[in-house]
This record gives sequence, structure tokens and C-alpha cells, in this order.
Amino acid sequence: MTLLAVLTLPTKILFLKLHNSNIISTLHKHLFSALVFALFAVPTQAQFCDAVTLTLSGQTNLDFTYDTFGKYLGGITQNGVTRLRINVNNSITSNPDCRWNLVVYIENGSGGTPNDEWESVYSQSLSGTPPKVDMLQLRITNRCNTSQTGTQFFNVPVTVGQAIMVITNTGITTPAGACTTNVNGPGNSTTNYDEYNFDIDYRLQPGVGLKSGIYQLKVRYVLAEAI
Amino acid sequence: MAGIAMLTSTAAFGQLKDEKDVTITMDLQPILQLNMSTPNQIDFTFDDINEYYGGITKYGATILKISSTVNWDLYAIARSNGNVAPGMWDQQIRYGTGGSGGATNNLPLSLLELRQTTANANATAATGSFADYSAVFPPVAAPAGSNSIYVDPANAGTPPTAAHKYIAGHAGTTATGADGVAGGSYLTANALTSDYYYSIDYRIVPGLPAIFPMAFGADGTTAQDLVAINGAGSYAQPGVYTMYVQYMILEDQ
Repeated sequence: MTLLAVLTLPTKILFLKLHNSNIISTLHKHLFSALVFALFAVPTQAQFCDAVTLTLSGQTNLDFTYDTFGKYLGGITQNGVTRLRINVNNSITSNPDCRWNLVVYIENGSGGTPNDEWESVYSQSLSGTPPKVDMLQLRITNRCNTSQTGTQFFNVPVTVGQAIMVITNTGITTPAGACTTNVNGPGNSTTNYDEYNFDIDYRLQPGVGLKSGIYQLKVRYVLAEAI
Repeated sequence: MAGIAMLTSTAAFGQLKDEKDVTITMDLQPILQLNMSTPNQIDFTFDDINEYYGGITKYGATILKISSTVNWDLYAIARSNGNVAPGMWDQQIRYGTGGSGGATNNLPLSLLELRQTTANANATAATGSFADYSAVFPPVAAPAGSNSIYVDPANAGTPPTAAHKYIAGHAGTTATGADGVAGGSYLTANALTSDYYYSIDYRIVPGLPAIFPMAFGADGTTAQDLVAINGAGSYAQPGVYTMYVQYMILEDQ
């Protein structure tokens, strides 16, 4: 059996030719239904924005070295070592639904590492417990405090791969210039400096009883069009 | 099907997205700190007959304060230069002719007694008669090895075993609490009776004749008084003797 389907858009004219006519009625019904479904039910995701660009300035490798007891107890904070600049443009399409998300993910590298622990690069000890992922604290702020994560340090999720929503898709466009929580409309880090520049602070407070060694985590920042 | 695939691929748009990564490296260096407050020299001068009988005790002569980021053990070991013999006090000088027959300068290091004010709470894996030095000093009339300091007979600094005494933690790595103290610090433990703070008393009892009846082997049960190790009629030769105590803190492993 040979099936030939010719489809022309946008007039949606459908031609079917079936060599075995005794099954025409059944097949015709099923195929027609399938193609109509394909025509109207396929997620035709619109591209609402023209461009989204995330620029990271500052350090991309952060070192936290604990060599005194005070550092273990008091922790180490690195303020403003990462800055994210957001640029979201819809000047061509001018689509009012152009919105964006800013999401943070924590990853612990290669397989074999439990999803709640830091990746061990080098171990110096036989005793103690491995450090947990949620020991990492972040503070993500800008001058208008648009971040959903607030203005204080927070512990990242217990396991890797979970989304930390900094700017989330509420289905409502909060335009640039509103200087309020969750500004997510088109804008850029130059003209909307207070809303489209995010400073990232990092804090690690190990305490005692951890297995000494060298560990790593990756922090992934994702700027995405909200669809 | 080809038509469906064509339709789908033609109609769908990609989501605009951009990503950046930051790598965080954390270097946890092991820290073991033993802060010790003590005189450089602790003198025991026996120039009175009562001191020979009752001994001399130096209360709280040494304060040990611990800060550690890893699980740890703490022990004391008696050492000397061995100018008389391994495991014996060094004789710096003898008085006069050194006494008559039976006088000996072969004084075992184990004649020094220690007492720690806080018991070793992390030594359930210990197998010996005495897990630590927390017992009260035994009466002179009833010699016992509960407080006799640990000595490596070869004078090589070999750590004590599970059958010997530790101040905190113990030999082996069975589990934290069984033979190791969890990381922590006297700075945050907030108690003089914590596992991170020890006051050490010292005692020497020569006895009369001066055979040092409190000297026992590392197991705490084998007598090492001068008669036991030098023979009947032995007693300490008058003179100046020295030794030293090492306090060793190490990661539980």
C-alpha cells in the first residue's frame, strides 16, 4: 500500500490517493483526523522576542580556600564577583508577549557523584562527611530588587538540577522601568540599568566535620524567552 | 507521516536562550590545632620525707584546647633522650657517689601519672583496662596503673593501641564517637567539660624506699616499679632526672 499525502499551507487542501480502495473509508478517516490534528494541535511555539542575550562579567572560576579555623566557622563571602547583564529585544516584532526568564541551576559535574554532594576533585582525608550541595548560598540582586529570590542569601536546593527562578514567567509582562519584582519585559542593561544588571554574591560556611579535600560545583545561569 | 513531520518542523520555532557558567572550587584544608598552656618545665623536687611518702601533685599544670575541622584523636606519650636506656628517664646528674648497693638510675618513664579532668567520651572501641587518664589518682597504699603515662618501650614514638590510654578518641576508625572525636573547637563548645578542653594534673610518688610504685606498663596492669624491673633491693639513685611529655593530636584514621 502506498500513501501519498500532499499538503499545502496555508490553504490546508488535502489530497489523498489510496491504491487499495476497500480500505479507503477507514484509512481516510484516520489519516485525515491525524493530519488535522497535526495542523492545529502541533505546538506552534511563537518566537515572541527578537533576541535574548546574557552577558557575564567578572570571574568565572571562584576559589574558596579554607585554611584557618576562623574561615571554617565564619565562612567566606565573595560579593559581586559575578555580574549578569540582560538584553532582551523585540524592536522588530514588537510582540507584547515578549517576556523572559532568568533561571539558575546547580550542577556537580561528572556522573558518580551523589546528586546532593559536591563533586570531589581531590580527597585528603578518610574521615568526615562530604560537603552537601545546599551548603552553597547565593544572593542575586539588582538595584530595583526585581529578583524573586529576594535580597538575602539563600541556600541552593538540596539536589542538583533544580531550577532556581530569579525571574519567572507569570504570564504577565512587567515592563522595564516598573522597578518592581519580576520585571520581565523587553529591555537592556544600558537603558534599564537598575533592572537588567544582576550582581551575584556567593557564600560558603562549611563548619567542621567535613571531609577535607578539593570540591567543585558549577552554577549555570540561563536566560530564556518565556513561552 | 512525511507530511506530518514536514508540517511539524515547519511550524515550530526555537526558544531563544543564552547561558553562562561559573565554576566554584572549594578547598577544605584539614586543620588540627592544639593550644597548650603549660610551664616549660614542671619541677618535682623531693627534699622532704613526706613528699617521698605522699608524692607531689601538680594540679592543672597543663591546659589543652583543641580546634579541629576533621575527626581527631589525642594522646600523651612519655619520651626521653634515652641516655640511660630506652623508656627510662634521662639522668642529668647524680648526687655524690650515687648511693650504695641497689641504687639505680634506671627509672621508668611510666612512673609519671596523669589525670585528665574530663573523661574520654569517645572511646567505646577501647579494649584495655584503662581507656583514658580520667580516674582519680589511686591512693599510695594501693598502687594501680590507671594513671600511669603511656610509654612506647622502644622510645620510637609509636602511638598507643586500642589496649592503651588516649586522652580523647582512640585507636582505629570504627566510628566517630567510638574511637574519634568529631571536628569542633573549644571556641564554640562553650564548656570547660567539653571534648575540646582538658586540664591535666601530674603526680609522681617515689615511695620509701624510692621504687615508684605507681609505674605500670602501657597496658596499665604490668608493674614497672624499680623492684619489678631492676630486681629486689633496688631504689632510685639520688640525682636530677628529666623526661618530656608529648601531646599528639592527629586525624582519626
